[in-house]
Amino acid sequence: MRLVRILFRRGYSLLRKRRAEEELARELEIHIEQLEREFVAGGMSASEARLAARKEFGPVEVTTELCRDMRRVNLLEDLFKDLVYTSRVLGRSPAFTLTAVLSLALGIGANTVVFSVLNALVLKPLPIPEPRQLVFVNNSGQPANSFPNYREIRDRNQVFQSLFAYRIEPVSLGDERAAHRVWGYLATGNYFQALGLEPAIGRFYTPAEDTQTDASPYVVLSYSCWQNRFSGDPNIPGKEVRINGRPFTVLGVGPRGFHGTEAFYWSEIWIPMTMQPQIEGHSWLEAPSTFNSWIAGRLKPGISIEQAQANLKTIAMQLARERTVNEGMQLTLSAPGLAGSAGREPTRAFTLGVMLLASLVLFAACANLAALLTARAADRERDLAIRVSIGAARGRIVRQLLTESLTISVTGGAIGCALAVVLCRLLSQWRAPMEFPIQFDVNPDWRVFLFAIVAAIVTGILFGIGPARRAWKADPAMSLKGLSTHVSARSWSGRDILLPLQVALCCVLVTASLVAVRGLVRSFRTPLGFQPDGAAVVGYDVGLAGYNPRDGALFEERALRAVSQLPGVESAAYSSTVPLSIDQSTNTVYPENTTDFRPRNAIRTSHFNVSPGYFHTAGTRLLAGREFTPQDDATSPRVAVVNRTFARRVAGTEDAVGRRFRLGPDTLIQIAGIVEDGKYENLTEYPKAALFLPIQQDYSSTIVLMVRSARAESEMAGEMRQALSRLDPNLAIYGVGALNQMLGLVYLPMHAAVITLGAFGILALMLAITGIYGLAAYAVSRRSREIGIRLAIGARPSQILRSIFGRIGKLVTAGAFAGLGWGLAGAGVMASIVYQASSRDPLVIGASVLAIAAVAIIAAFGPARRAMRVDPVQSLRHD
Amino acid sequence: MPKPSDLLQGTLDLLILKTIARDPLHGWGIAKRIQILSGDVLSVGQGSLYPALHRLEQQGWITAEWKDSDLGRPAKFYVLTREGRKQLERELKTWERLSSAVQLLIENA
Repeated sequence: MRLVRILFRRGYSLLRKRRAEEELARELEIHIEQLEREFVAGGMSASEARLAARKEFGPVEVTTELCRDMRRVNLLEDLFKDLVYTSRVLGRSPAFTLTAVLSLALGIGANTVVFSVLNALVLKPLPIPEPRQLVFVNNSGQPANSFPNYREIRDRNQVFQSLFAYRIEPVSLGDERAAHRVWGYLATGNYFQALGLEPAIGRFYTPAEDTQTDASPYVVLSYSCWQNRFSGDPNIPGKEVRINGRPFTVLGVGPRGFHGTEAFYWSEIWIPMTMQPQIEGHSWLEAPSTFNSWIAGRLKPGISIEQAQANLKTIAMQLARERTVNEGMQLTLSAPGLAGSAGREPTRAFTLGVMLLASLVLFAACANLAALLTARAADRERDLAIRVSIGAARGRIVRQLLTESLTISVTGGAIGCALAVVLCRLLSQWRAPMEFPIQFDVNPDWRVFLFAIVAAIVTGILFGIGPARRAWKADPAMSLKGLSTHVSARSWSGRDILLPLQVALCCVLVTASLVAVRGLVRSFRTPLGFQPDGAAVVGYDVGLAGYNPRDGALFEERALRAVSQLPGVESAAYSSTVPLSIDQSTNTVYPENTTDFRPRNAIRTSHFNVSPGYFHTAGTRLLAGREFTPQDDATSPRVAVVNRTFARRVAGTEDAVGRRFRLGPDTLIQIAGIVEDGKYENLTEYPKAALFLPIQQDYSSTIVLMVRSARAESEMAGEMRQALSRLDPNLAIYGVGALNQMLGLVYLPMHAAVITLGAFGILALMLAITGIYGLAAYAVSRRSREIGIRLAIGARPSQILRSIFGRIGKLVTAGAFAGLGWGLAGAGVMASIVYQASSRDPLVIGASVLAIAAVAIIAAFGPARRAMRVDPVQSLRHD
Repeated sequence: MPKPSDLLQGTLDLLILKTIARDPLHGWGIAKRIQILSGDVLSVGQGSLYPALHRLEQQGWITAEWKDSDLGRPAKFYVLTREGRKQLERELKTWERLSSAVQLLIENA
């Protein structure tokens, strides 16, 4: 009640200000009238009484002012006045306002976007109840473990409520008309229970429905799969769909917004893990050396990560003792969502690194605005001094200045935030140009907006505090005389640190972006070990269409013949996969004379199954020996083509044609040919061993069919797809296009790095220009009197220029050197993200120095002209 | 006539609240009544009376309305609110505690 009354009173005083003022005046007037009457009654004349009453009452204005103060709306009123005044001040210099708001909008916008990504990838938990209890079990830093190990860990641990295993699995989802490839999970029966999810409709499968091999043909659909592929059919539970050509029953649909347990991978379908043999055609559920299962689980309430780690350590030691294949196994926990720590750590490091850069940009923008504001404050010094000397409290003036800087920063922040929202929308809608369903949901949530608000306010205070401090300390008497407290140009003040700092930051960013761009340019010229240009590919999986190995092999022959006859095809071949695509397999091999087959003697190698003519079609140079021929089939001795690194590591010599190696204790394979080294998993990898086996001897149901032609790749690929559809309309075809497109994923981090760094570099250059301009302009305006005197007594313009810019030059040079040093140090970090980014690149250093010099000259040009045009008479008459 | 003593800091609120506790009064009336009831010992300067009234009004202890008055024209009459009465009781208690403490000290020191 009282609160309501108070609010009402305050509102009244604020809104009905004129009325309140009138009432107050009337009230005081009545009082004076009464005093007057008393004096008349006491025998004074009317005029005497009036004077006496006035005297008795005292200064009416002071009382009025005190009463007004009591109304306690001054803070609000002052704020309003400050805002009006601020808008007038800012409106008077639109160029400054625009520069300030824009640079902050860009700075805060960039930070908000980066923070959104960081938030989406690292901070935001999975959309499940109690997400903090869910942890991912890493196997020696890698996400995958074997399924037998999973069962042991599940049964032996004392720390998990439930522990589940899952695996990313592409399947073909068919209806009456056609089959589509969709990406889903094989997941154990306790998956949904452990996550604590409720189905949108229907039900989930249970642990009891995941015990018998190939006995649970059930699927659960994701909400978006249900909406997009089944138009939200409310009767979907109980309906039959075809998975890889076999009938499965839909049990239910997952909750809205749930896309599985990885942040970037949007699963559409879940299938019980025991269906694995049927789905993949061969079973690894009992294979202790096939590491295909990802493990995660929900901790028991009250169990800490450390307790759980300790328990897992014991289990890992037991498992390592029991199975040689587990030798050296370490089980560690990490947050789920990014393929365990293997994906999480680099992602976190990268996003935090970019965040750091982004905050450097914002910091540079702050330093810059502080310099600009200081320069402006110098122009307004007299104005402020007058206000102080006629009685304005310093606190009020500081508040006014802070209101100005906060207005700029909040406006900039709002625009930046709007920009960020638009960018994030685009980014969320963007699908990486590859068939793997990578999707980032980076739409901003409350964390992002909170971040933007805090960033705006902090920057406002950061760049406003300097000028405000100066205003606080300024001596009005000196200012009025045109002599500010820091009149000497020789003394170096704390303010002088701003410019070198900013130039240094700018230098870091420019160097970093140049290093990244150079790296990108070079990486396009890097030998990949094959020629993606001119190669068109089509991917499909005959296993998903229900072919057995014999029919599958026959189908490949027919498919190869069909595409070879397409017009313009120079050569055609097929393989299990292509290098640098997402689907990579590795294998372990041993030198021929190995007797001890423990993991430490194994040599890891990338593994491809390829058809005759593959190397010719892919553009991989054959260094020695021969390619596969149609005669290398199941009836002939086993042969292999290997790359140089393989030959060196396994056979001990690059001249290894005819030598043999072991693919296991019992399989001896002869090397038939040697090919050049290439890149297999990513562009930054060190030379890796690669093994190519003839696909006729080593069947693969996943196929990438490749042709080389002079025609446009996408056109070619489209025709290949049609040719395949004619052969089998039920085949789910994916990854149709240029081979270059299949490489999208390996270029993705690099493109991201180059785009962000490029943007930051340009931003930093813009900021440096405004910063140097601000400081130079400030210096000229501070010293126009001095310049005037010097010109009057005969100084040459060049001398004036030297004295003005000697100082700025020193500051810029100092900053540039510091920045170059940091930039080069930082480039080492860059080299790990951007392939072939080298910090010791003379071109980069030269370009950075040149850029900074150019920026300094451009920025200082305007103020320099002003200094030259100082009119001695005017500047001396100034005060 | 000896100059009325200055008011002890903080007692002005109490005096105002107490003065208007029985019936509403305008500013002039409040000043007069304090002076009369205290036997001309206490006097409230206009310079502090009106700011105090406005402060109490802002705080919601008292409220005001313009009414015809004995002064020949409408005046602003102040009246206690319900919360104001409670506040008065609190202030009275504080005052009693304070004055009895001062009394105690004077007697025993």
